[in-house]
Order: sequence, then C-alpha cells, then structure tokens
Amino acid sequence: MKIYKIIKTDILVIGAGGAGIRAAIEAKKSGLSVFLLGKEVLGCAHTGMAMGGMNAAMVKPATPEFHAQITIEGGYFINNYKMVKVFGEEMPARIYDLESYGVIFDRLDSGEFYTWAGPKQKHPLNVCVGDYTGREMMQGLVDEARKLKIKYTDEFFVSKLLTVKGQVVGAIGINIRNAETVVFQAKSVILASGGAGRMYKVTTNAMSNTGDGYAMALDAGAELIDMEMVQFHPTGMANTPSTLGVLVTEKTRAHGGILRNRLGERFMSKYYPKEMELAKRDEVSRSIYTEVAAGLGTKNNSVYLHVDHWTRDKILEIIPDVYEQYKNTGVDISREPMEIYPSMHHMMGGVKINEWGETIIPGLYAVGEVAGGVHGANRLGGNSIAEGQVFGRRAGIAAAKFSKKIKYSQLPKEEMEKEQTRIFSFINRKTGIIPHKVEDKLKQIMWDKVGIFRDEKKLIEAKKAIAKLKIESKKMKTRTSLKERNRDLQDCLEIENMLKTAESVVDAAILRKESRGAHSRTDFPKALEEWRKNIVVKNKNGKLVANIIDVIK
Amino acid sequence: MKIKFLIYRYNSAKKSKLKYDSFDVPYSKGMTVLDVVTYIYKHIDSTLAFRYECRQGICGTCGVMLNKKPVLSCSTQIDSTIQTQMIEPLANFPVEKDLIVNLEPVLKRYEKIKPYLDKVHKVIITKKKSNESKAFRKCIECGCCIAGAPEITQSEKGCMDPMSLVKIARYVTDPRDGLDRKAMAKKAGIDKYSDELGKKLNLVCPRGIPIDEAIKLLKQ
Repeated sequence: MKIYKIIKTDILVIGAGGAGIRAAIEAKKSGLSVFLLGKEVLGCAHTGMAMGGMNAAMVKPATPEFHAQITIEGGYFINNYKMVKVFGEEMPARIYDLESYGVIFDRLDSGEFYTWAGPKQKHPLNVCVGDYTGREMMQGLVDEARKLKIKYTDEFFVSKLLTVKGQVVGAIGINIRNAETVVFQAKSVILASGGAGRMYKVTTNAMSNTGDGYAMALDAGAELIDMEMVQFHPTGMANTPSTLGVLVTEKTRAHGGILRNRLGERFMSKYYPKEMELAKRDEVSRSIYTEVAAGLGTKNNSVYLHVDHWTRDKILEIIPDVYEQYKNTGVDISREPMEIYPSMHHMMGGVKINEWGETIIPGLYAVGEVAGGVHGANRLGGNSIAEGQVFGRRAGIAAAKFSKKIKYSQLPKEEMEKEQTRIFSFINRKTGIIPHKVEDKLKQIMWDKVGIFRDEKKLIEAKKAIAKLKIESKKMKTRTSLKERNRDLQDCLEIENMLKTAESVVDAAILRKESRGAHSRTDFPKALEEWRKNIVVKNKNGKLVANIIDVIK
Repeated sequence: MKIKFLIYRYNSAKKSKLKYDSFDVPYSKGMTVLDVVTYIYKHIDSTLAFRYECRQGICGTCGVMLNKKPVLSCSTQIDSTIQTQMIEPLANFPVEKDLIVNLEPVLKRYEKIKPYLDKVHKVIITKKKSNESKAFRKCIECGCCIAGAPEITQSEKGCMDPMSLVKIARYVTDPRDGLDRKAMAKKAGIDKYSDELGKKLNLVCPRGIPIDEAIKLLKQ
C-alpha cells in the first residue's frame, strides 16, 4: 500500500456525461491541461439514456424569457432565479454548439428545428433527435472530445475529493480495471458525476448513478440544496422484471399517447381534466400511483399507455426506441398497450452552486445532475440534458480562470493514505456482509418510505433504517480479493455513497413540512407560502445539518 | 426449470488459461442475457466480469456473444428451448477479463478515420438532408458489427472495421463535413466489403443500421 500514481492536471473533470464533457471541451479551449474521468466506457454515461428532447427557445414564439418563466413555474418557485435566467438565455447558443460537434437535431422541410411541446409548453421548446436525443448528443460530445484530443481515463472510480485548508487540490480513486490507486493533483475540480437513481428499487437511471458526487461534496465541506426533491417519471416500463423502470419518453404522451387504467378509463380526467396526460411529471406520477393503490392497476401493478391508435409509421418516426424496447420484451406497441408505472428519474437537488457552477469550496465546481438549484421542486422534461450544457460550459470557463491564477498546492498525504486504507479495507477484512445485500435493503427503504407520497412516520422509519444500514455497511466485505474487475469493491464504495445521499434526502424531506412539486407529504398536503424556501444540507463534524434559506433571486 | 450456461473465463492480467465455466441458472419468462450474468455474479460467482449500464439498449456497453452471435445482453431474451447455451465476450476483440473486451485496438483504428465533423461548411440542414445521415447517426459504438465480421477483422488486416465504415458513412452524408470521406473509405479498404457481408451485418446491428447501404454509398 501507500503506492499510487500521481497525475497532474490544471483542471480535473469528474464524470463524463453531457455536462462533464461539455465542461472539459470549454476548459480545454483555455489552453490549460484538462483531464476527464468517467466511471463507464467513454460515451456510455447516463446522459445517453435521455430520450425525448431538450428545451431551448429555438423557434418563435418561444423566447428565452418564456423558457425561464415555465422552468420557474414548473419548479414551484423555489428555483435559483439567477441560474434559470442564464439557462433560458444561453440555451439556443448551446444547441448550435452541439450541432458544431456533429449533432443534427430533427428538422422541418424548411430547415427550421422540429420542436414539440412538453408539459407547460404553450410554445414548444423541445428540440430532439427521434427519441434518442441524449445518445446522439453524447456521440457529438465524444466526437468533439476526440477531435480536441482531451486526455481521459474511462472506467475510473473517484472515491474522494482531496482538500487542504478548505480548498480542493485534487481527487483520489481507483482504476476499475485493476484497482490501481491514482491521485490527480489539480488546481480546480469540476464535479459532474450525475445522480443517484440506483438507491431506489425502481429507476430509469444507469447503474453508475450512485450519488458519488453528493457524498464526496458533503465530505469536502460543500452544501447540498433541495435534496428532498426527487423526481419520479410517470412512465417507466413495468411489463417485465428485467426492464423494470426503464424510461418511456414523455414525447409519447406529448404526441397523443393515452393513459388508461385496468377498466379502460382515461383516468387523468379525474385528476387533471385540463392538462390530461400532459400534466406535470409530479402530477401524473401521483395520479398513476393513486389509481394503482385504488386497485385499478393491471396484474403487474401498472397502468396502460396506448399508442396503438397511432399508425405504425407515426410510431416508428416519433418513438422508434420505445417501439424497440417493448419489442425486445415481446410486446408490439402498435397492436397492444404498454404497461407503465412511475420510476425514480432525477435528483432536482444537488451541490449548491451559483450561475458559474462555483461551490463554496474554492476550486470546486459542480454541474449537471450532481448540482442543484435550476430545477427547484420539479424539473420540466427537456431541461436536464439542456442545463448541463449551459452550466458545463460556464464551469469550464470559471475553472480555467481560477486555475490560471494559482499554483499547485501540496497534496494531503495523510488524507490520501487514509482513503486508500478505507478503499482496500473492504477487501482486506477477514469476514463481513455481502455488499449487494446492503444495497437491496436501501433500495427497498427508499422505494417504500421516501417515494412519491411521504409522511413523517415513514420518513422517520427511513431515517432509522438508513442509520442502521450505515453501521452495517462498515462491515461490508468483497467476496473476492481479486484486483481485476472486482465488482464487489466498486459496489462497497458506491453503497457508502448511496447511503450518504439517501440520508441527506431523508433529512431534508423530514424538515419540509408541506407539499411542493415532487415532495408530497400526506400529512402536510398543501403548499405553504412560508415554504417558498430552500433547504441546504451540510456536513458538520460528521453530522448532517439542515438549514432553511431564502430563494436566490 | 434450469438452463445450463457455459461462460467464457479468462483473465489477461494473470494470463490465465482460457476455460468455460458451467452454471445452472433458473429460467424465468422474459429473462435476458444480462439477467443471466447478473444472477451468476450475485448468487454463484462474484468474480465474473461483465459490463452494463442502461438496460435500455442504448449505452452500447453490454455486447456479448450469445451462442456465437453478437447481441446486447440487456435487450436480448433467452430462448428457453435451448438446454445448454454459451456466453462469450465479443469476438474479434482482445479479451480483458471474462466477458469484458479491451476496446483500445478498435479505438486506435477508429482514430485513423477522424471520427468527428471536420473542415466544417456552413449549410442549412433541411429535413431531407438530415434524414440522409439519420440512420448512420444511430450507431452506439457497441462493437457488435465488429464481432460479426470475422471475414474483415481476421482476414483483411489493415482494412477498416464496420464500425469505422458506418462512421465514415455518417459523415459522408453530412453536408457540413469537408473531408473527402469516399477517398478515405477507398484507402481504408471499402472494396473488401461485399453486398452479402453488408446484408449480414444489417441483421447483427442492434440499432438496425443499414450497413449494406453504407457500403453501397461509399463504393459509389
């Protein structure tokens, strides 16, 4: 032990999804050295799973102001207004950037962008590439990163941010291929490590989304905001266990997909007769939950989403991948309905940043799903992969500016050794618990008690159960001591991160005694004026402390 | 009911001897290849190495050979009528460990064809122009086509692999790209690709890319 490779780079980007690669591209333009790390094979990050589209005021009468306005309304007025403003303003330019990287968004005959309207979009804002917008966007970003020869290591797991006197100086982690420890010494670090879907039993998320960034940011002393705001996408696949929770895009409902219960009733008319299927995500998710809880679901505890009244050509043009996803499970959606149920989809909350991606830690920036603020209490469809482009670029600029002003700091040797010991303790201890058993328990707790509807009793139970699991997790032990591709080792590190993330979600959820957006409390069913506030969570001497702050305007 | 799976086992770091381990896995309706390997990892052998991310057939990281055919393991269901089945890493790649292949040699070859928009022209893109490249833009770099083309990757050293071919087709149909991609394709060995091979690869591609059309286009 105590052997590690040290790589120096002016700017380190942790996470190679849409926001991370965008940040790396921008940072690279500064002429400084940039190093990009991804947990999965380059190009395979969760961003690629985004389907329907991304919002930008590309076609009149939509304007950046309109985009900002509905983002705030959709977020129930607790978004960071400053971030939302620059988001709306800068999105069109980011769309053109993506096209310069190779992406081609769908067009009309005239050459104008094809746009479609998601919830709240009186004027359509979604530009798209079929129903695989995220994948084409990732391909463009990866192509550009290759063109710029950005240095990267993929399949690398960062386990800790390194700080000295409250400033970030790099990060430490292991190569997933062979468990080699590597230290990155950096002048600034951009955290773009994505969300935490895997802590829920049913999720649309890729397996990499384990809350690593939230946990590492907390440990480094950064603040998390809006962690209680967890989005459930109304339509996750529900017909086979293998594909449970896999995303069915909102584009389906926006183009005339119809929801029905077991009895064939178009049940949205009971809940949101005006908006129907295109009510906001939190609203549709609650409606489906209520239908199934009332015994009106299918035998798979789901409801039906119909496109079987569309022509086959329309299906193949608008939602080709949804068609394939069901075909692979033996369902032809042009002939029979899809079975769907809400699926944990997105963390609105995350590391608290300003409109330049800056955290309260000098040198540390956060962008993409790991950051919070722009979405408030509910994210509009099409805003996620979009905002990562705006704030990815901004953080790239800010980190370069910061890095140009400073020299490398000394690395915290003791902290590094301690972290290496922690990592390998999961291999070295003689006996212990199988990691995925801890994970399975956490997933169930989060799904049952910190889900679409919450109340004090369930949340307190979750808090206690997670505290117990945290103690149990200290005894996790890998079933093999092999260094090559030790999945159990990665699981151990990820489970610790999921537990820390879950803890912050539960603490914030207990504190917010009202219902707003994705946070629905059956014991406090109304939205309260005095709760137009944000909850900020911070680590103080190993304990989470939650504070209430005014919305940033 | 249980199905017997023979799984390819190898560790390049230890230069271990290649072997096939046999695992009996309980079958359930709708079970995918990914479910099989996950079951083995969780319940039988925690040293089994495999990649996956999305379960949605879109990330392109879970390609394997199922009974000698390249497939994405998350989107391929098990045929319960076959008693003994075989899961191996993608063919025509060096193997890193078990079902995980080393992507480096392929990415090195890929670099040679400049897999990015280059020498950019400013052009207005209409629906018609956008549609010309659309099918080729669906590539997720999963490598299934490479695994399905031994006649190129094994016999025609120095010739571009089908993944590179699709990428060239993607940029040759993009009016903004300013490189002479057809000359590039010729130099990279497009003539080694027959129409039959193209048709065969169409069936291999999990994204349904018409690779035969890409070949025709680049030969023009």
